[in-house]
Amino acid sequence: MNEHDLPDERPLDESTRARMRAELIAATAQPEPRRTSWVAPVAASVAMLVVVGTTGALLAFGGGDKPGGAEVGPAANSADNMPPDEQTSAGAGSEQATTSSPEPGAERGESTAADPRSPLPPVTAEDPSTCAADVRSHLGEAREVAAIDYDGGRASLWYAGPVWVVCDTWAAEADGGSTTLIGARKVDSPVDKSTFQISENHSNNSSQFFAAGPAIPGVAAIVYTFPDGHVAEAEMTDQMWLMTYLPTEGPLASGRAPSKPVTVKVTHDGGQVDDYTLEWGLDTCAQVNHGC
Amino acid sequence: MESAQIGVIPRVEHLDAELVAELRSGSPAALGELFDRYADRVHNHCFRRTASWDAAEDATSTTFLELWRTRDRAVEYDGSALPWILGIATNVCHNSNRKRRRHLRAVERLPRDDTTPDHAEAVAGRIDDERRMARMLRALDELPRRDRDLVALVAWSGLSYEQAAASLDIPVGTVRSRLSRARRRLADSVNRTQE
Repeated sequence: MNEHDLPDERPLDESTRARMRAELIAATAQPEPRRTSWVAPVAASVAMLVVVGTTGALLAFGGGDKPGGAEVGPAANSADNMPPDEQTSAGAGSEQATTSSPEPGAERGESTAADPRSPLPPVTAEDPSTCAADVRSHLGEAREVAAIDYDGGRASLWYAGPVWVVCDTWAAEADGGSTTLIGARKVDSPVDKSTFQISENHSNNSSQFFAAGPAIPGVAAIVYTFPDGHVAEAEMTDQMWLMTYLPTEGPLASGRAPSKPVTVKVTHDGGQVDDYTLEWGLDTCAQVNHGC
Repeated sequence: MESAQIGVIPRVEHLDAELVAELRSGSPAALGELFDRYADRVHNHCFRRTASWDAAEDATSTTFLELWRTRDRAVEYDGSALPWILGIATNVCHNSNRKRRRHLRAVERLPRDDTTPDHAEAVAGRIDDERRMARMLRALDELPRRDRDLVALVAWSGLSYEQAAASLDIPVGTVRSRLSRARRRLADSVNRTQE
């Protein structure tokens, strides 16, 4: 396997294309209140329901391997420009006629006025994911034992038997996305570099760095130094520690790959200091619940 | 007098720059034409970022809705709207991925030699695509996000260095230097995941 060993491209099948186009027409026909980041996908879902209601099972189950259900198409070269709609077979064309997709070529300046669809019903916001649900989906009957609230989020420590996980809500609260889980390690795991690994949590507009874990016996301070010079000292409680950093300017804020690693200085009660070096991409990862 | 052609309405192909200008002025028709032109490109780009054809369809819809929502900021680069569109698709897919990682890893773990009924060949093909793509994304995930975006835009979706720079709003020199390094790291990562 190499970077070019990818599955062949597939064109959208005609029924899907017609449905999407109808969704777009429906969406663009609506007056536009200010929307938050979750509205677009929700509006898409609602619009899809409207369209599905009008096109019915014809599109969803039409004809097995016949057009309309034709999921496998010829591969196309990704570097080429997409050809205009030229894949319509007779069957697909007849199915399309049952949709409210506008006539190609007749849409410029007319599609909105010609669309008789009534306004979309009110939409309900998709709830952001919660730590209670997400942790338990990973660890079963986990229970929360401690938490630290901070500006923009909340990090909570959970145990399921001897295994701990920290759940962070920053990304979920930023734009209704997912919580981030870090850890899933045994409480008696040895302290090493991986103990201090960083999760890079993304929202639509920014990225936060986050590291946490249960309190480490004998450790008095944990200090991270980032490539941009920012120093983030972990907050320590009797039960857990938490480091967060939300860069607002500079290369880390713009997502550029840093050339220098992150250093972690761990100071023990007796004054002994351990240093760890975290390499980007090796000891950091995009949202640890992605598998780091 | 020459008789007019009857029954054939020639379809006018507008330039991307025209469509972008019309979109900025609020033309749904321009959005429709951009959809006709680029929906497949977006769909395949999103598949390569999500390893799911279903998620790619959802993300394609969302991307074009986002184009509409952010039409005031529509831009074309060197006569093409694609860098702007794929830039938005990249963000949409990224957000979608955050909610789908568990599914992605589950797909990756599916056994390779499923016996599938003949009539489900197309479905099996899609699942096989998703499994292969999920493996590739697992290797790609070891790269920083911006590097992942570059690999996907340039190596997988065919943007030029200049277009990718416009898409991500970074200098083209940065694209060159980072992409080279990213490809090396991806190759290492791919090798590790195969071991």
